[in-house]
Amino acid sequence: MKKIYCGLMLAATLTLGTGCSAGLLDIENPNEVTNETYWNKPEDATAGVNACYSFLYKEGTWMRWLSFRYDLTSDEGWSSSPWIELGDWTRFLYNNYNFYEGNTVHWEHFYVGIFRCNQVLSKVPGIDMDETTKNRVLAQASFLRALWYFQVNLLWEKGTMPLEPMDASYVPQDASEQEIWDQIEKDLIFAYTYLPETWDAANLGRATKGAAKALLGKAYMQQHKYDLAKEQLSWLIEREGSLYDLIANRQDNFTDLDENNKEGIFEIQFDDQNKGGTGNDASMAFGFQRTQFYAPSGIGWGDGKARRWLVDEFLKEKREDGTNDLRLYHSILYRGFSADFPDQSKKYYKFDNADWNEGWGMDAEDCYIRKYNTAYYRDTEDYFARNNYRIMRYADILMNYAECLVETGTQPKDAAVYVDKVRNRAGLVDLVDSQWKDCLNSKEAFMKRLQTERTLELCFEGWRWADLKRWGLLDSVQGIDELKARDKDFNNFVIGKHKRLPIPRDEVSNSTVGGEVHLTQNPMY
Amino acid sequence: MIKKILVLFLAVFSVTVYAQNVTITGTVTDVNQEPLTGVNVVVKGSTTGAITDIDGNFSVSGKKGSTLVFSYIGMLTQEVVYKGTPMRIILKDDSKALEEVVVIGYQTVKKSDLTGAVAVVDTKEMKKSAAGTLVSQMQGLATGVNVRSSGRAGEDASIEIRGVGSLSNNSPLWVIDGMITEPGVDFNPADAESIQILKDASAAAIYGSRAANGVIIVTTKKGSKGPMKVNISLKETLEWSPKYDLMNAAEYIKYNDIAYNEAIKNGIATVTSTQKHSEYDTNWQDEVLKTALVQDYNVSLSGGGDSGNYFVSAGYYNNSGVSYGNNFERYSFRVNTQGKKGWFSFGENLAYSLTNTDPNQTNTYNDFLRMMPTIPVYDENNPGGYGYGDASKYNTFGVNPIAREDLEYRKMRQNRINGSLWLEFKPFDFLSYKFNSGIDLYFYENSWFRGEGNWTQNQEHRDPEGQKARDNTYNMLVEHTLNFNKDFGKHHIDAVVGTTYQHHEWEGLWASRLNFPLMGNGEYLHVLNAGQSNQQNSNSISENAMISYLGRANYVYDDKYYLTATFRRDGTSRLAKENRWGNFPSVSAAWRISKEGFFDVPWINDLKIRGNWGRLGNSSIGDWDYIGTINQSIVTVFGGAIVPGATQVKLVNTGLVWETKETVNVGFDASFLDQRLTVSAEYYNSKTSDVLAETPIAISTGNQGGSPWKNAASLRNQGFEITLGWKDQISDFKYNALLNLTTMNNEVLDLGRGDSERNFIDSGQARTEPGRSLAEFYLKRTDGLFRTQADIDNYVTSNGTPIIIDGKRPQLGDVRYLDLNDDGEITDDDRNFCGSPWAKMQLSFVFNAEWKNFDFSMMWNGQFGNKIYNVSRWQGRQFADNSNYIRFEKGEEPYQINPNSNTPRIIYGDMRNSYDSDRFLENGSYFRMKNISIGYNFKQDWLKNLGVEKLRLFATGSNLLTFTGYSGLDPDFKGVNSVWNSGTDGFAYPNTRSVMFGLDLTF
Repeated sequence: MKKIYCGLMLAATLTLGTGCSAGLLDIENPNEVTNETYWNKPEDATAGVNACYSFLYKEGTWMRWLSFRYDLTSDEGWSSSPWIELGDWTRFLYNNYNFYEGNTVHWEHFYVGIFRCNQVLSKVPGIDMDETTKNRVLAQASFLRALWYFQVNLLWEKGTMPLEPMDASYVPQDASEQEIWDQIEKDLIFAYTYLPETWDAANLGRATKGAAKALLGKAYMQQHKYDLAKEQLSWLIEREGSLYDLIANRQDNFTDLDENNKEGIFEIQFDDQNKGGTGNDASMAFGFQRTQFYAPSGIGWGDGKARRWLVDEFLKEKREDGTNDLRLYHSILYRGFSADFPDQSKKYYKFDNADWNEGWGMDAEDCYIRKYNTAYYRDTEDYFARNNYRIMRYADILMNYAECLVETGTQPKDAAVYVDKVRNRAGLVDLVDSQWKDCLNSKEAFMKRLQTERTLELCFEGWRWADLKRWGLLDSVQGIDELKARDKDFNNFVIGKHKRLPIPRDEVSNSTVGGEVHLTQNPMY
Repeated sequence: MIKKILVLFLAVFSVTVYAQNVTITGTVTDVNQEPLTGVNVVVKGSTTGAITDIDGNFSVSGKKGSTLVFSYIGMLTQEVVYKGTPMRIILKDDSKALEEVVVIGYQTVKKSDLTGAVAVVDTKEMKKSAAGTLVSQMQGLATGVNVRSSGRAGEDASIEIRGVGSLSNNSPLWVIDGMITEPGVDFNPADAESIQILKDASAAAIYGSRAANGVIIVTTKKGSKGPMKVNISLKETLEWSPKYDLMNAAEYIKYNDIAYNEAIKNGIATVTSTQKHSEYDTNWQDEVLKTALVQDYNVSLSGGGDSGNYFVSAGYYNNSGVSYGNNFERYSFRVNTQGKKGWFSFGENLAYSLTNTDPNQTNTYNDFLRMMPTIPVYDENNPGGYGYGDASKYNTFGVNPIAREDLEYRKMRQNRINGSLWLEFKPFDFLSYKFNSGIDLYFYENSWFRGEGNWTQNQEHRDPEGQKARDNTYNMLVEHTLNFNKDFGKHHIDAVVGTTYQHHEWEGLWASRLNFPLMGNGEYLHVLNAGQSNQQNSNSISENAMISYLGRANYVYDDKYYLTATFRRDGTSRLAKENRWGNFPSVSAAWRISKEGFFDVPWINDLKIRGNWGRLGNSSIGDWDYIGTINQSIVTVFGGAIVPGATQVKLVNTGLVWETKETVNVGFDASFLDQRLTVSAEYYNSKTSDVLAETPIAISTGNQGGSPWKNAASLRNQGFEITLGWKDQISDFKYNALLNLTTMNNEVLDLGRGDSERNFIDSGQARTEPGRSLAEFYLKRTDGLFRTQADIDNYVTSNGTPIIIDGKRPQLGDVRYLDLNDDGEITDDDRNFCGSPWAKMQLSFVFNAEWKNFDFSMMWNGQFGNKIYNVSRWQGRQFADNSNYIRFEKGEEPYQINPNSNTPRIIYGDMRNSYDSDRFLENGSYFRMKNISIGYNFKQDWLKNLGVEKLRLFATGSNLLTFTGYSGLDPDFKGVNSVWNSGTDGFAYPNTRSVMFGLDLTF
């Protein structure tokens, strides 16, 4: 009897204890494949690079907060948000360097974008696949990595520069602004070498050769390498059979009615099919969220506003037909706009008479940003606007090109041709025939006028901050005085400090090993 | 329904009075001639029986020569033949039963033989609680156990044993009838027969890697030999919530205008006039809070014979909730049976429960403060028809709780089946083999819907949205154990060896849609199929397994010397192959000094000292956290169409190993003065190493989804626990008292961040740093107000630089913050440590008394020496942003009105006087009368004729009296994040006050 039971016990113990026990503990993850088993098929390469684009739809990019950095921090806009700290980060009051929405979100999101590109750039070369397709995948990832590092340089003027996927023990290391520009150039040269000039309809939105060249041109310009920049930009402008031109109806650069057109060089493909959150899942939203933050009370939250001087600047010059510049009507909502634009609708979203509403503020500075609004198809805002954001468009490149020309010795009147294209579309006469014709007398005068021409065409399109930096306005007392006159937030600006953001404090701390800081804080912070 | 059952049973029992021959009478006493009440007297071979009354008398019908069986709990059953004369029966103690037996995991031992720290919770005391869950009823009933409960209907209390030893999970392991599970809110606490808490490593080591946070072993009720017993218990409780003392509209307007005018005077840019206040005067607390009715009904049937027994119970619990939109109900059902034939026996315990919860969608206690009295509850001009903030009249982003509960629908339903089945073969009286298997299945449903309509200012538009979730959990356990138990003269040896296999599987499904149609009656169709766009769904699976080998041997010599050794080896699927297995040994010893020949202290009846060491483990991390994965549900858009993407999102640390905790425990148990006084004391010191923590990594790695787990930190916990018991009797007044005292000291030894500048973790108002307790308060320091110009002029750094607050120099009446880093600016760098959220001492006191048919009891508990950060006070004294205000007591009015008060200048739109600071840190000590209860047992002879064995009526008051200096609603609150912000009272739902009336009937 005893033997029987001992046997039973032993059998039970052995069953669990040896034979299959190892197997019982080997449970495969049914949710996701592992790193080791991925990255071996051509589809993996395509999916990998698609995931790089997916990161354009995140709060730290142009979808939401980046406009606070480039548009509101510059002299074009300001923040009246009741969230004081949010507003402080548009007026050079940087106290908590870890403030997420003002600083860390960008650092984090740019580097997540870079991590995704680095995965593609390090894993895809090992995949056995068609070389052309492979190179196109690598070129797209290179373009996007350069796009992210470009933002790192615009915001912090330095960073750390991982070029392959790093593990959890990674220690950030100082990479200078110049080292980062060098890498951006390298990536963009590779990108334009292998990217196609166009994609088929199903792939609209992927980076093209023109996008890589435009971005490379801009990278050179930020370094004042105007010769090299001119060469890249001329490919878009001067080349026989160029794909690019201005569209007739300028306003459609900001709607979903004519997307990926000949004026669009690189666009974020916003869409309202998904209405989920911003997590990394299949229901992720692809909507443009900025206008929810900028539209006035009742439609949005009025967190970001336009500076009044822009309105006045627009009103200084009439169109050839004697009316006011419609670009003003389409860019800024201000009290009394209907008197300046009697032929234009007063309706704005659900407000039949948007001129004016007491709750929107009675101060002259209470001007709302209208560019990229979606009032043309709905009554209220939300987080899912479907109009593409044009990171780069041809009008911008034309004026960049004009700048490169004068900077490399071309006569202002010859460079003005490219500015006039933009002016003419807006119904304005050529510079030479305008009240500004004196600007053609010198390079300096031309540059000063170009600075205004650019903001009138491009305000709230994310380039003003880069422009101010490039033009040196942030480096001199004279420059800051000029900006103060337009935007009182510059009263807080300290030269040598505020042209760049502080590195998020936690990241500086994360780089500390053995008491040595490997990612040093920016000067004066 | 229950009434009907009662009537039916009463009817059945009254029939038992039938044809009688003679009336047999007699008296039953114990060896001390004390009459025994409630002794079961049965005429053998018949269904005739009786129960002795309060004087030990019985009368039963039978014949001369009938054999009468006398049985009583804790006494040896006797069979006596009736010889015609009144019987005098003396029942003797059953020495085995007298000895309290304690379940210690795979074995039971006599309580007096324990070598480790095991606390036994008195389930009779728990019955006096008005709380609805097992955990909340345990509060105060054991040392070393910290229970924090909440006033939310349907929310369980939290429980920590001996402090916080881990950063991943601090919940103890629960073993209910041999099955590893959690009681949660679905377990019917009335089913619990006994609860023991294994606190130290030697006691818990048999559960190895699961036991680092202690083990709680629950045994549910079983039937006992004898005719069927029916127990009916009915409890009705009225519960209400404490309230803030808030301002009415007139008071609010007065102070709000002062704050606005101050802002205008100071040129705060956004403020040009005071608010255009409304005429409304809403008392939001009155709108939302109500007296709740809690119904708790239980019926159980139990009985048994020589070959088996049964216990069947059904319960219904319903809490209508003190806060609008919050309620909870539970239906529970249990069948426990056991059977035995020769050397084979079996048993099963099966419980089914159904719970329905309607949770609050908003924290109403936060809303009370954030909604001003000038806001109407309803406002037809707003989408949805409810009142909320308005930029010109009442500018707040507070939530209208009535609106949110009405507009947002959420119901949670859970079906749960839980139980175990065991078979035992006992071929020899010293050896047995047991097979034990258990299941724990949860079927959870969550339905959510939101129609159009707003509950706060500036809500972005959202189409009507519906979501449904279905989560299924399958837990399984299989165990084989072999038990040995034999005496060799004065030597006693018992041992257990075994293996266990546990498997956990969870699968979640979630779906949602937008654009649900509105029907004619203003209601929406909620079913997902009615949603017209944006179909979404998600599905994920979690699965893990553990295999263990376990063994324990106990050696006792002459009830004098005790030695125990335990070993467990665990393998988990949650760690990589090479790190999968962990070994968890322990040893312990005890010495009963009082048994030694040389020990001659007459007033000490028993004295035993004991000590032990052991190692436990923990791997409470995700199922696959040791290996990186590719997320293939990434999407992006090209050409207007959605296309898939794939990438690694989260980084991992691949070399994760077991977190291990080593504990040393010493203690003694003693009894004095003829067992009237008992004392138990423990000291423990435990160190947890390789603590799994989500340690921050470089942001520029591009990691998302949280920091990866790392074996980073180490922690130490130590403390004393003392239990003092006293029982005595003065004529027919019997009473006993119990005092539990616990001290706990927690220290972070290392956070595993090397010498990084960030060798700390900030969490709200707290910071965790090596050398200190977890999450000590870390705040700006203040030193009163600036009352004179000289105060302001002298507010400079050591080198004379004027100190700036919020970019400005202070004014009269502003708060004087200390510039601790002496840099001339008040920033987060001026915080320092200013107190611990952990109580230096916890104390509970239980008193029970019986006099004639009355019984009385009360339970007090409290904690001392901790600090609480009072967020509601911060909010109620916040004038920088609009909210309602906590009423000023006399002398407390703001500086503008009363320059002598400690309340600073109030100003809208300027945060300088509202920073998180030590101004809102309060002493959290309290001592509370948790329960006070009075009961009446109906006299036996009244009930006898009704066939009723016992009928008790009782009333209990809970939380009616609290001594505390804390100004918030409740110093005994459950933190939102129990470890990291345990001392921050962030609008925690206060424990309700209640009065309960109950009836307990057994027949």
